[in-house]
Amino acid sequence: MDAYDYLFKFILIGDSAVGKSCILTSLIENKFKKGSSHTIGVEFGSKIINVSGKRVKLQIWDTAGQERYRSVTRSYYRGAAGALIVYDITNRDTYHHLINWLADARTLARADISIIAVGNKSDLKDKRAVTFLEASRCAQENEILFLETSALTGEGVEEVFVKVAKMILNKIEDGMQHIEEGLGYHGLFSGLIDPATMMSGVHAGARSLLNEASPAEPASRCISC
Amino acid sequence: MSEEAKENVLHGEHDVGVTTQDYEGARVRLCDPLRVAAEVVDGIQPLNKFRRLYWGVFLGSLSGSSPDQWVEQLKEQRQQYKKMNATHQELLKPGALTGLDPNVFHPLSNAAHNPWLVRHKNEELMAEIWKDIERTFAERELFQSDSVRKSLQRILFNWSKEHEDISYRQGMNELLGVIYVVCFRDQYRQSEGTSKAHTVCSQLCCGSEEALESDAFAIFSALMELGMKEIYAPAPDPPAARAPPLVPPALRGMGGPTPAPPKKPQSAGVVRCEQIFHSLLKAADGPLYQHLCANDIEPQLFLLRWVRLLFSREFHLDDTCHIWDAFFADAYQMRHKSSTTGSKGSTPQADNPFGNAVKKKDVKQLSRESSDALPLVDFFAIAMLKFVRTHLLSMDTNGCLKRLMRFPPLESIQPLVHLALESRATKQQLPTPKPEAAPNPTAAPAVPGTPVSSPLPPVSTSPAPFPIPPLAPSPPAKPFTDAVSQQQQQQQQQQPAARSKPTVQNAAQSTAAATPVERGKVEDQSLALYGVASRMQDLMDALSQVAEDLTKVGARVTLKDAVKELRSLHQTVITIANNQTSAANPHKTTRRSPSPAPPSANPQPPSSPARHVNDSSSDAPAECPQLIDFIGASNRFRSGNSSAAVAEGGAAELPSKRGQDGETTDAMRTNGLPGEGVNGTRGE
Repeated sequence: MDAYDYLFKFILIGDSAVGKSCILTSLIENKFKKGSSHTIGVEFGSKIINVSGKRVKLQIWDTAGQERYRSVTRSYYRGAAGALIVYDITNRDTYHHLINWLADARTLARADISIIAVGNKSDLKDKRAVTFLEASRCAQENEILFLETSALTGEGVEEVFVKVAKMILNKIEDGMQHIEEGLGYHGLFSGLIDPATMMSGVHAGARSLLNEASPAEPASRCISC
Repeated sequence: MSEEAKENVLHGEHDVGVTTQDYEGARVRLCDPLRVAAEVVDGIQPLNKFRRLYWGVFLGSLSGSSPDQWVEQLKEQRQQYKKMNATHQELLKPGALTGLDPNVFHPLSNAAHNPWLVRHKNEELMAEIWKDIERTFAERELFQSDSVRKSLQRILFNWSKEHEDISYRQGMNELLGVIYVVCFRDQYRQSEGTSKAHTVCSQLCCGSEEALESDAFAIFSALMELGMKEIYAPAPDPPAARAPPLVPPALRGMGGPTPAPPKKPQSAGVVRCEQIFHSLLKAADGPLYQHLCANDIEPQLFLLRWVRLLFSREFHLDDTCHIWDAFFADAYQMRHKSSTTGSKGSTPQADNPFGNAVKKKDVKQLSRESSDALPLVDFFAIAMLKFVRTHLLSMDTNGCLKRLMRFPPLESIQPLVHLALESRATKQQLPTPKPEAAPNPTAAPAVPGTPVSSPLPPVSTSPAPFPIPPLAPSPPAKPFTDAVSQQQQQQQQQQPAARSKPTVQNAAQSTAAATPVERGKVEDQSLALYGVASRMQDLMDALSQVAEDLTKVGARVTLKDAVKELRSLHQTVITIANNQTSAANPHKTTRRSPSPAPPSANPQPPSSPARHVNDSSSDAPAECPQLIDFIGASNRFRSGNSSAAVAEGGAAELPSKRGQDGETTDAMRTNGLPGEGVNGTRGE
C-alpha cells in the first residue's frame, strides 16, 4: 500500500485566502471544504499519485498566506522539489504578488525546484480579474509552469500536481536532479535519516532503490539551514 | 431587547444566558475569585456560568472582588471603548476626507501622514481582517451573523490601531472568537425586574451588542497583554543591512516589495517554541525529545499554532474554554501569590487593557515574559506531548507530524491539566535538568513486561521518584489557604478528575486514602488508560465511518460488529480507569459500566511509599489483568477477522503495524486531512 518509487516534497505558497488549503483538501479528499479556517504556521498532507507509470508519493506542505509569519518559512522551503504558487483569479493583487513569492522560492529553496503558477477559483468566471493569457505569458517569461484550477469543482487540481511531478521526473531522468539516498548528507542529523523522510525534496522509494539506484552525491545543492 | 434576545437564540448557541437565580446562586463564589481559581485549576468545580466575569477578573480587565465594583468598571470601559471606536471608525467613513483641501492633502500624495493614505491603509487592514473573520468558526451559526462579524472586525481593527507595532495577525481572530462566544453565552436577557440582582445582572452581563463588543474587547486586550502579543509580534529587523535578494534577471524591475532575506532573526514566538521543545521537553521526557529530534520535527511546526491559538484549534470549543479557565485561573493565582509574598512579579501589568505600551526588548526576554505571564501554557504543551508519546515514539516523521497536527480528541481535558501542573512542579523542583535526572532513553519506552510499543500512552516519566507537591511551595499566610484547604488542594491535585467528577466532599475523604506516591502511580495508570480509551474512541469513529461508507457501496460488512466489540472494550477500559481512580480513594467505589472482569480482580496493589518510580511503571501491566485482556482481545480480533478493511483499521492500534496504519487511521479521521491511505486509491 505504501510502496512508492519516489517521494517529492511540495510546498504551497501564495497570498492569504487564495485557496491554498482548499487545493490541498481538494487533492487529497476529492472534496471542497466549506468554511475552512486560515492556516496558522503550516499544514501538511500526503498522497500517492501515478506519474508516467511511477508511483510518486507527494508530501505537501501548506503554508499560512499571511506570511508576515515568516518564522516557519525557511525550514519549510528546505528541500522542496516542487512549489505551487497560488493566486486568486478574481483578485489582481494576489496575482501581482506572484512575483514576490517566486522570488522567495528561488531564494530560499533548492536551485532545481520546479515551480508552477496556479490561478485558483476558475469557477468564478464573472468575477475574473486576471486573464488566462496574461498569466500564461507571465509564467512563460519567468520560466515556470502555469495552470488554472478550481478547488471548488476540483477542476485542474490533480493536473497541477501531476504536471509538476512530471517535470521533476524528467529532470531526474535527464540526470539534472539530485536524488537523496539519505546517507549522511545533512550535517545536523547525519546518519539518522531514513530515506523515506522529508529531509530533502526528492527521495528514491524502496522499490527503485533496488533497481536503479546510482548513488547520487550528497546534496551539495540542497538548501540547508 | 426581548426581540434581540429571540434573535440571539437563533444563533445556534444553546444554553445561552444567565438569570437572576444564576446570579443569586453564584454570588458568594463571585466574591471569592481566588477560591474559584483554585478550584478551577484543580478541576474540583469547573466554571459554568459567568465566565465572562471570571475571565475578566483572572486576566485583570476587572479588579477587586465585588460585583458592584465591576459594574462601575464595566461602565467605564464601555464608555471608553465607544470613544475609541468612534475615533478609529471616523477615518473609514466615506466623505470624511472630501472636505479636505486637495492643495494641502492631495489624495495621491505619498506623504506618510496624508490622511488619504492613512485611510487607504485602514481600509486595507479592515479588508485583511474581514478575510479571516469570514473564516472564524465559520461553521458556528453565531459567527454567520453579519452584525457579529462586523463587531469582531471592529474589535480587531481597534486593537490593531492601538498596537500599530504589531497590528493584526492571523490567529488573533480565533482567540477573539472564543472570547466572544463566552461573552455571548453569559448574557442577561430579562428586560424587566426591580430586584437588586436584576440591576446588577443587567449591567454585568448586558446582552446588547455594544456591551458584548466592548467586554469582548476588554478581555481580548487583557489576554493579549498577558504574554500573547509578544508571540504575535514579528521578528525584529535584522541588525545588518538586508542582503540583496537573488532575483533572476527576468524578474528584476517587476515591482513589488523585496522578498525576505534568507537569514532573519527569530520572533519571540519561535524562540518560545524552541524553549518549550529544547529545554522543557528535553528535561521532562528525554527519549521523546530525542525521537522527535531524530525525525527532524521542528518545534515551531506544531507548537507555534498550539501556543499562538492557546490550543483552540486542537480541541473542541467547549474543551478550549475549560483549558483557558485553567490557564487564566492559574495565572491569577500566581499573580496573587507573587503580590502577597512581595516577590518580584514578572507578570506584565494587565490592569489597563487600553494601554499601548511599546517595549523594545530582545526576543529571548520577550519570550520568557510571555511564558511567565500565563505560566501553565508551556507545560500544557508538554503534557500534550507526553499524552501521545507512545504513539509518537512508534512513528516516523510523517506519522509524528500528522499526530501533532491532529491531536486526538479527549474525553476530558482535566488529566492534561494535571499532567501540566505535575510537569511544572517537577521542573520547579529540579530547576537545572541534570543528565541523570532525565529518564533513561532506552528504559522508558520499553518497559519490561510491556509490548515494546504497546498502545499504552503516557506512563509518566517524571524523573523524580519522590512525592511531588502540585505547585511551588506556597507562600505563608495566604488569605484563602489555611492549613486544611491547602492540604485539600494537594489531595485534589493528585486525583485524576476525568471521570470521577470529584467533589469537595471527595477531596476531604481522600485525605485518608493512599499516600501520594501510590496515588501518583495509580494516576499514571489511569491516565494511560484514558489515553488508550481516547485512542479507541478515535478508532471507533474512523471505523464506523468506514463501515458506513462500505454499507453504502453494498459490501458485506462485519465491521459493525467490530465497532460494537471495540465499544465494549472501550467501556471496559474506562471502567478499569475508573476503578483505578477510585482505588486511590477507597471511599468511592462506584462503577459506571459493566466490565467483563470483576473489579475485585484488580485491587489496588499494596505498594510501599518508598518504591522507585521505575518499579511502579514496570509492573503496571501486571496490575491490570484487564488491560492485558484488552491487548489480547485486539490481537485476536485482528487475526480472527478476514475483512481487509477491518485488518487495516483495527491494526492501527497494534504495535507491529503502527508505522503504516497510523496514517490510515489519520486518513479516516473526519476532521483531518487524510493521507493517501483512503484517498490514494480514488484519484488515480
